[in-house]
Amino acid sequence: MSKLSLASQIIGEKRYESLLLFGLQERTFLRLLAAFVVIAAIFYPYPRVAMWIGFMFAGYSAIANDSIQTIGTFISSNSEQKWWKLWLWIGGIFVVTVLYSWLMYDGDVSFQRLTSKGFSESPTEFHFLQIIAPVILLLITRLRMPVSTTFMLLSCFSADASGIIGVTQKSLMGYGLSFVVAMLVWYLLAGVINKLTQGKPHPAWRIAQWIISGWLWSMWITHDAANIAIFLNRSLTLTDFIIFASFIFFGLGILFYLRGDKIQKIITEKSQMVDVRAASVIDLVYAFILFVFKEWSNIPMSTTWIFLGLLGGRELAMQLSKKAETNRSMGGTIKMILRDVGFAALGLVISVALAIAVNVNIQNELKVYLGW
Amino acid sequence: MSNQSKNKQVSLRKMLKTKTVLLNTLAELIASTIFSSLYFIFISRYLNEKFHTDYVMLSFSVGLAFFAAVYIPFHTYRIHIIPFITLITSLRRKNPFILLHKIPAQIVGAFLGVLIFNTINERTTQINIENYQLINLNDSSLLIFINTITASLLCYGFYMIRVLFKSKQLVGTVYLSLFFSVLFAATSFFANTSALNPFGYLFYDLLGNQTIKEQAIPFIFINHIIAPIVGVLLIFYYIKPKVLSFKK
Repeated sequence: MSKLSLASQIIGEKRYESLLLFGLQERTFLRLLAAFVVIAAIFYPYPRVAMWIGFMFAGYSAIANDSIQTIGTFISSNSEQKWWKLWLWIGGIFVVTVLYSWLMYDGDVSFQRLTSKGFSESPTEFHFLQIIAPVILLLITRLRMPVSTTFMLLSCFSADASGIIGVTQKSLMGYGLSFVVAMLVWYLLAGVINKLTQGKPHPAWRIAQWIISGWLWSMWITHDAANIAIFLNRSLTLTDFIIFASFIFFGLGILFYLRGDKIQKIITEKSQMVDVRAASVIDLVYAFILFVFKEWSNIPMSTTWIFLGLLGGRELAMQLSKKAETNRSMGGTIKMILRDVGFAALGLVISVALAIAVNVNIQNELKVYLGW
Repeated sequence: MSNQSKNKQVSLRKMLKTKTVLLNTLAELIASTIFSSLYFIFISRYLNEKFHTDYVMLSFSVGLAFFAAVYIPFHTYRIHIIPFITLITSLRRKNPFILLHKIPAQIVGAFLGVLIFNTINERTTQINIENYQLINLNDSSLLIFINTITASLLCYGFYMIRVLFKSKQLVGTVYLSLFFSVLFAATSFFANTSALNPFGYLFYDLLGNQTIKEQAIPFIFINHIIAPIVGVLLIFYYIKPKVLSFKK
């Protein structure tokens, strides 16, 4: 039993002990976050500096959290490959994809996601909370909560509530659709997928996986480059673009060297995710859904919610199907789905709270709505 | 155990001790730099109308600066930043050695912190910190008393939290920062109080900003150095034994 303290009395002894343990295990990381907060506190009033600091924090948090949905399975199932080979493939696709957007859309690297209502203006000044939003995201990610980068970062910059509502609607639709598609694919094709994943995989699977992962990665960039570019001018100069692309490129290098961040565990705990064939099927379905939503409209959306819907639908289908094998009970599956949804919702609540705290327009709209 | 292995152990222990001292000194320097720069940056923003910072927010920010300065550089939580805290710690341990490595680090750190602040201030807020001193007390003895009380309370709070309640980890730093915020809120608006950032104010003056211009040298010495030290000694030799005996 730990010694009696005020904090343990307030939050409960068990929670206090877990918190102490977390603080002890992650002390270097937490100190790094504290340093980020100090840097943000010093530089947020100076837009020219703040935009690059915000971009770097957002880039780091997106790499640590969001991109893992796409390259997470790629890392898991290629654990025997040299890290730099994986890095050059994924990093190269990143550079080519953003270069395409930069050339095609007059310096915009977000595939016109930031031209939609509420996000079209380049930020001319920054609120402290806008700069530390990625730091909060990093902390939540470290706690292994799969929250949406899109909500956390974009909602702080939305000029009015309609921007956030648009993103939420599209993301909810994304969750529902991916859940249903995953259910159908893994329920109806359970037998085929089961046969495919028997025995040792054919070497062709490796090539297929690299191509599918590459496509998925580029689809993800078309959606989520907006989350990182939101801090920068809507049209980047050549120098801006070089800084933007190289920071992410080398950041990816670190990610591959470390073989993924803490959130990687969320991938490995799902059934059959380290198998190259199972991972390829998931990636293919995910990439296809992202492609559909990319073509549908320019409104940004949460790819995390699509990913969670996909994993949830797949796990449920594997439970229901007699032909598929899974390593948990029905109760365990539902608990896992609800837990992921809960974390995603928590992320939404935090991001809306941040958006309200930052944005006077949203505060006024809320007051009108509540009749104050 | 042979003499050779004994010698080896002793030299290893010495090496480890030297390494810890070096790391602590470096941490103290970084902490002092962070604290001094943030302390003045937050005050300059309070004085600049563009930032809409109120007094409560300023006090909270200074507490946060203290927290960040203690928390970021090193994981041992042995950072003091304020020389009066170092003084009371050295008295408690009966080891004046820590004064020799911590105080110089605090001095250099405060110097760097003020340099950083001046650079940022010149390019942005262009505020004179002297304008922050909202109440000018004409009574010198009252001012000396306030500075003494501030230094004493700070050391007393530090002693209670870190030593008596043994809150030596992160939670203790949080309590200490909150305490620092309250102390700042209660005393900082009086002109010529420096106990919460003595080396910071010293270098702010030496670098040409002159918050203590036109003051008599004896007053400067008594107000900023002698009186706070007397306060700390009073806390240590008179009040602390009473508290401990009350606890028993």
